[in-house]
Order: sequence, then C-alpha cells, then structure tokens
Amino acid sequence: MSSLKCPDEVIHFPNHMSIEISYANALSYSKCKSYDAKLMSQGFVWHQIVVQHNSRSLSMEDKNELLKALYEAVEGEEFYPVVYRRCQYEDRFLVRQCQPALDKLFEKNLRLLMPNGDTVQLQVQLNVAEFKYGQISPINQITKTLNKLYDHMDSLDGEKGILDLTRFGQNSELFDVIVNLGNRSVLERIFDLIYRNDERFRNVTGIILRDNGITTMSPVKLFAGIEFSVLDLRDNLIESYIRLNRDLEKIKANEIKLMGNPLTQSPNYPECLRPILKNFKILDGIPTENLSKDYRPINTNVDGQAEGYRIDWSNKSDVNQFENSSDWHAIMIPDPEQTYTKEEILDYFFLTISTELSDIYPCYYKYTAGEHQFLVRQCFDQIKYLVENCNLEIKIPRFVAPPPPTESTTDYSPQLVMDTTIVYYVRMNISPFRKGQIEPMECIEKALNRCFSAMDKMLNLNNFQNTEGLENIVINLSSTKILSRVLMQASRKFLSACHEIRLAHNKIVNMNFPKILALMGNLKALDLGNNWIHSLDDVKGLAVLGITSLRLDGNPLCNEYSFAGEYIKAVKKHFTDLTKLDGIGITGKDNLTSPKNFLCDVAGYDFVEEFVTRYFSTFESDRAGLQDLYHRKAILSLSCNFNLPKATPQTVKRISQYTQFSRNLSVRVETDQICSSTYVGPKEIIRVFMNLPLVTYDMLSFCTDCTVFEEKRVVITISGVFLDQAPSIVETDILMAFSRTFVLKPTKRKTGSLKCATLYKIINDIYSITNPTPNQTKIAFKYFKNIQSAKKDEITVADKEALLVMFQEATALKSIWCTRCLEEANWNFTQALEVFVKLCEKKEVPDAAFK
Amino acid sequence: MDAELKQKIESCVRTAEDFTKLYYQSFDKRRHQISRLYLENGLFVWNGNGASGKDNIHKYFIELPSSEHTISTLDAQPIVDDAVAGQLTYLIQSGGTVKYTDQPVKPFQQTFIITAQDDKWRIASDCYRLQDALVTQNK
Repeated sequence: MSSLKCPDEVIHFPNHMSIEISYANALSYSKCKSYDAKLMSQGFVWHQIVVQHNSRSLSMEDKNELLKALYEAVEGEEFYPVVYRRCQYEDRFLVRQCQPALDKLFEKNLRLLMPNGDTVQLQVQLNVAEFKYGQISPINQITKTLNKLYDHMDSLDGEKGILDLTRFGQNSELFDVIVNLGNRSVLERIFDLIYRNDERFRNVTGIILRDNGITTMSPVKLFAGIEFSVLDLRDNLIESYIRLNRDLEKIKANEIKLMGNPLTQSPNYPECLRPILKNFKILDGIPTENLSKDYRPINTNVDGQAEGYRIDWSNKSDVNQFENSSDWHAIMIPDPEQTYTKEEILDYFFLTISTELSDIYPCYYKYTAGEHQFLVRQCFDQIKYLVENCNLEIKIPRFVAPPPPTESTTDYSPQLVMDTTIVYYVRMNISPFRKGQIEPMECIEKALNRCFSAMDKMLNLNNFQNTEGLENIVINLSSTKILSRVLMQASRKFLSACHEIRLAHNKIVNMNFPKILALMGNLKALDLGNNWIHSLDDVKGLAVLGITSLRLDGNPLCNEYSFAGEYIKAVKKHFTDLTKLDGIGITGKDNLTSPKNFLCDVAGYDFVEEFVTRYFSTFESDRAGLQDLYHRKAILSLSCNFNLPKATPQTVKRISQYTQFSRNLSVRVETDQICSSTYVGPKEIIRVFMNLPLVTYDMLSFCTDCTVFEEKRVVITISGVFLDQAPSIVETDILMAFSRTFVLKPTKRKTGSLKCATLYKIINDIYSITNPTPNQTKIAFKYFKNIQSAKKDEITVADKEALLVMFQEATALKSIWCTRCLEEANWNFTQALEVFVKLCEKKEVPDAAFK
Repeated sequence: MDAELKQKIESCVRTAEDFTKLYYQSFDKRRHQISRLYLENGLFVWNGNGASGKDNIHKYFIELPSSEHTISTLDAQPIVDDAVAGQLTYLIQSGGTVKYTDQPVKPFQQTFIITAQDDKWRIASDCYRLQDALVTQNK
C-alpha cells in the first residue's frame, strides 16, 4: 500500500536499495519524554533524528562534537546513525532497532548538552520509512569491514595475524554508517563479530585499535584467556586506570600500547597500572619489569643487532661510519675480577674524555660478564676522540704503599702512580633510540623539579646523582660544561625564587661561571662543601653574586690553610659580603671568633681525639690504669684556685682534697714547698690521683688545642668543666673549670704489628682548677656525646685509602677482597683482620683472591 | 727527688715568674714589641685561632683589642727531654682575668712552652683560652 504513495524523499546508495522517506505516517516528537511504544518497537521501520543546531553550516569539528554529545546521551547503548546529512539549521540521520538508545534520549527530554554548555534540541521522527531487505544495515557493513580486514590481516614486527582496526569507522564500507567504537555497546558488538568468526579468529594474534575514540575497554573481557602478541590501544580516549585495570584483568599480551591516551598523562602513570602490568611483557616498547626504573635497551635486543658494531684497536678508522648515528653506543670496559667499582670506572672514564667536546651522559650502567658497560648517544666527537686520541685506553691511578719509613723520612702516606691501563672497546649502534628511553636534559629537568623547595626557597642539589630519576644516567658535575648546563637550566627555571643552592658532594672542581647564576637575583647562600675544588681561584668568580653564606668545607682548597683565621681572611678577600663561612658566623673582626679546637697539624687529628677521649674516660673510671701512660720521669703539678661563695665545713673539706696537692706560684713559694708539690714518676702521680675526689667530665665542654705535633713531642691543652661528685647524698655536686696541658714524648718507635706505630708517654702534666663562669655553668652537661656513633662518621676517604693499603700489606689480598673485609668490619682494622682469619678458616677465600 | 731535678725545678719556677711578668706587661702595654718574645717559627694560638711565625704573631696582636690582665695563678715545670739534651725547655701555665676594650672581665688560662735561645727565653708555643667566648657585636 505504502509503495503507491509518493515518497517525500529518496535516499540512494551505490550498493544498496534506496530508502524512501515519507512523513505521512511518521510521528514527530520534540522536548518530551514519552512516545508511542508500539511504533517504536516495530523492527522494520526507519526512524529519523533531526539535530536542530540552528547554525547555518556546521564544521566537521562541530559535527564530531554533536556526535560525541549524542553518544554520551545514549550512554553506551548500541546506536548506528545512517546517512548523516548536514543541512542548514539542522542535521538528520536515520536509525533502526535502537529503542534503548532512543529511550535514553527521551529521558533527557530530547535535549543534547554540548560541551560548551549550549543545548541542542532533537526531533525524533518515528516511522519515516519502511525497512526492506537489501537496504543498508550497519551490522552487515561492520561484518563486511571485518572480513575485509581479516583479508588484509597483516604482519607486524614479523608476527603474523595482526588485525588492524585503526580508525575503524573510516573504512569505505562504513561511509554511510557512523560506527563509534567509543560507544561501549558498539565496541562490544564489533568484538563479538570478531570473536564469532571462529575460523578466522583462530589466526588472530594481535589487535590494533588505534585512534578509535575508545573510552572504555570493558568489552575486551570477551577475549579473556587469549594471549595476544600485541594489543595496540594508542591514541584513544582511555582515561580511567581503575576501569582499565578491571577490564584488562584477564587479558594477556606480549606488548600493550597505550601511548596517546589521557591516562598516560596522569602523574602516577604507569605505576597506576601495576595490577595488570604482569599480564604484559612490554608497555609502549618498555619492558614492564623495568617500568618503575627506565627502559634498558641493552637488555632487550630482539632485533638481532645486540652485538652492535665492535670497534677496538684493530679497526679504529671504522668509527667514522657512525658520525651521523643517533643510536645508542655501548662503552665496554673489561674488568674480569671487578677490581674497580662503578664509581671508580666512571671517574677514570671522565678523566679520559675531552673537556672541550660534547657532553657525555653514561646511561644504563651495568656490570655483566666481566665487563663494565654503559650506553652513550649523540657524542660522536667524544667517541672519535677516545678511539683516535686515547687509543681506547683508560689510565688507572693507583695508591701504592710507601717505602718502609726510615729515620730521615716522615712521609708515610701512600703514593699515587698511573701505571695501569685498561684497554676497552665500543659497540656502535647497539640499539636504536626509542621514545621513553633516557634523554639527559629531560632527566635533569625532572630532577631539578624534585630538588627545589619553594617553601624554603632552596634548591637542594646535594649529591645530585642520587636524586630520584637519575638511577640510569650519570650526570658528571665535575665537567664544568655539564655543571653550567644544569645550573643554567635551574636559573632559568627558578629565577629569583631561589635564595639558596646546595651543591655539596658533587665532585665539582670549578664553578667560575657567575653569569649563569646571575638570573637568580636573590641568591644569598651557596653550599659547595665536600667537592673537589682545589683552589679559591676556581670559585672566586662567584664573588660578584654578593652571596652572604658560603660553604667550602671539605674541599682540597681548605688544606692550603693551616689556620682558620688565614682561611677566613683568604675567602673574605674575594667574598666581601660574606657573613657566614662553613656555617660559622664571621663578623668584621674575624680574629675574635673562638673555634673550639686548634690543631697545628691536621695529621694529629685522630691521635688527639683518641688520646683525649681515652685519657679522660679512664681518669673518671680507672685512674690506676693511667700509670702506664706516664713516663718514668713524668712530672705532675696542680694549682687549685677554686673559691666557693657560700662555703660550708663539708665543702671546704672537699676543696681541701684538691688544695692539699696544689700550689700557686703567683705568690712567693719556698723552694722546699715547690719541690714537695712537684710529683715525679708514675707511682707518685697515681698516688695523687687516687687521693683526688671522683669526677665526671663534660667532654662536650672541652676546648682542645694541640700546639705541638712533632715526632719528638706532642703538646695538648684541654680546658673545660667537670663535676666533683658529692661524697654523700646530703651534699651536692660541685662544678669546676679546669685547664690541663700534657706534654707527650715518643718512647718506642716502629712498634705494633705493622712496625709503623709510635708509642707515646706523658712526660709533663700541668693541671689547674678554677671557678667556672656563669655561662659555663649554664651549658655544662647539657648535651651528651655518643662516642660510638661520632667515631663511625669520622672515617674519611683518606683514612680508608690508608687502611686499604695497610690491609693489603698485611694480607696480600687483592684490593676488592680487602675492601670486603674492611667494609664488613666497619673499617676497624683489627676486626677486619679477624674477618679475614675467619674467612680463611672457613676456606672461603679462593687462591684468586690473593695477589 | 735528686738534687739536679730540684735545681731544675727551682730555676724553672723563677724563670716562669720573671717571664710571665714581662709577657703580660708587653701584652697590655707594649703590644708592638711582644713578638720579640717568640721564636722565629713560634706559634700563638688565641682561642683556637693560630698565628705562626713572628710576623703573623705581630699582626695578630696588633689586631686584638687593648687588654688588661690580672694573674692569679701560676705554675711551671721543666720538660725533661733526653732527646734534646742540654736544651732547656719549660712548661708554664698561668691563669687570671682579663678586660678587653668593650668586653666584660673574663677569666682566662694560658700555657707557654718557652725555650732558651742565645741566653734569652723565647716562646715556642703559646696557647691562650678565655673561659667564655668574647661577646661579638654585630654592627
């Protein structure tokens, strides 16, 4: 019957029967929530949706926006607009069999909410045309497309059976149908169609779903248990990692690709995918096991180039082939017994490269198969230099034991020789560079962000190499170029927001580039402590910055000055605005400050520390035990000038215990009395000590001055406070100040197990006791010193070197084994020897461990 | 105690008395001459700050504020050293109070090692400690 009527509009298709639209029996709805359910449920009719956008002409972008809003409105119900036509003021398209989707549209009162906040009215016209066999059907078109793609099923990276659904909706078969994979039900339908084609699906090993506007992957659950070679989801709109974790829970693939999804922008990506990462070996080209670190290209060479092109002494000229390569090159340094640590190898390497040529950032260091290896890129000039100028050799500096000490020489320190070289080689083009691998400037940028504290206005680059994110790259700040590059980036970034920079422990040798830091207009403090700065000349350029606090402590330059005063003066000569040096306030009159300790010779540090700690703690607990410390001709005298403002009979008696042995030569004293108050010889001295009251020293109050530290004599003066302990509970302790000078002389040289030690004995002990000042009383015994922990921190690199040489002498072990024993014993020599003996007893030291 | 040692101690004590008198007079009144009391390579350590050699010591003294010392204790011992036979060396310890310009009176302790050189006593090392640090004035 209806065929007799003249249609209002006929839509023609090249390969399908045309659709004849007639509005005669159609029912139109707009701005309403209900409809004629009977008409709607009819399967063999077309409905038309008119989008009343009221614009003269819609751009392609606007159309996509509209469709996006439309798909959002139908909320995951299957929906395939057919023959979308763009007209003035309104767009129209046909749909069939989509009641759930239309229900959703009616629910929304036939209104679309656009992303910009506008609303667009929809008109739904039910029953605008009869459906006939031979007319276009979205599902058929999808099936056809899939069949075509199955035919095309291509190979990817040598793997056959990759079904490529990239931009699926743009296949020619779908010209008249809109298939949006961003719609969950549509995607589900497609996956179902793929899955149901048993015969062909069997050959599918991977699926590419790139650029399809996919927001949710929940339909992929259909493929649970199948192991794909690749699942490529790049350039979609997947946002929620929670949903993705749920949806991919049972999906396995060798490689998954997610790049270009909003999800990858999240700050905790890829960590947020932790629950499903185990399902995939590779994520966007990066092995998932390395994700939290960085991709190590050297481990995962599937392309058969793992060996690269080896260049060694025999084919040096071949290096020129690689001038324009941007691939990774591996530096391979053989060290079969791992004699050197990573740090040592890199230090020696940095000494070898040219300071003039491009920056080198060693990446992905590892030690395997008896070789130190690391990768470098984009430094052809340096590699060429290493090959042609350095002959692919690294010179190794080595400390050797000095010749045995004689009477005439006093220098026991190990000597430096450069007699060892390591011959190494490079593997060029070992792996191509891929995105996601280390890029030095990017790493530095990220690390700088981590190190800046806006609250403290401070950039803390102390031990920069240990910053999170630099695990796989070495930033060599002893290179002036790299250091200035890093600081340049920091200055540009933080400008005047940064008031303080800490650069301690970075092996910095030179920092004469004030211009770079000039951008930081508010820079006031700079910490360059514990670096490798050898002379003030290497930093004096920074003086123009007008900083007020500077730390240079722990640099070799400090050794140039014997006394603090000289050092302060030398630094202030350049840095005139300085008020603080090495954390200590320095005022205009720098000679009026009071350093706690004075040491005429740095070499005496350990000796003095050891002597003072041991002497005074023995004096507190076991005075008789001091007898051996005194020379047979030793002299002791005591002057006690202590006055109690409120003396009681008890306290007078207590003070008299001191005064009975004491004298004061400032008042005229008879010769006999002088002699009787001079105590000579260890026995006599100990007798005096045993008759003095019990005391407790506040060792933190001690000022220690070592004014003579020579082979034939050592003079140490200690001043501080102690508590005279109350003899009974009804009395109180009395705080006293003292000053005591010891003169020590050597009695036995070349003693001890190594014949290097010298035994000293006290020859003079002059002891004076006075009243403490109010200030001394105030701070006395306020702090406690943990001798054990303080000791542990005090082992310097120089100490370790000396211990190592000694240990090697004693055991004939190779240095790596020596280090092992010493480390285990916390660098205590005796304990380390015990460790060694135990290892020997257990037969755990191989012959190869010995030289 | 043998007679030789007794005699040594006796002369040591007398030297210490004379020497410290001269020393503190120079310190307080004739600062510019004080470096003459030191050996050519002598050492002066003032509250942990060292100056070595006559010239440096001279400079150091000139920069110190003017002072007034009052000595209340004195002690001295000979350093009996077989290694340097014949060389007389004494250890002297003095104490008292000092008033520096713009500073309150403070107790101090001082230890000298003096040695005879060409019939004159010269300071080999000199260690000076105030019991309290000076009050530093920030201008």
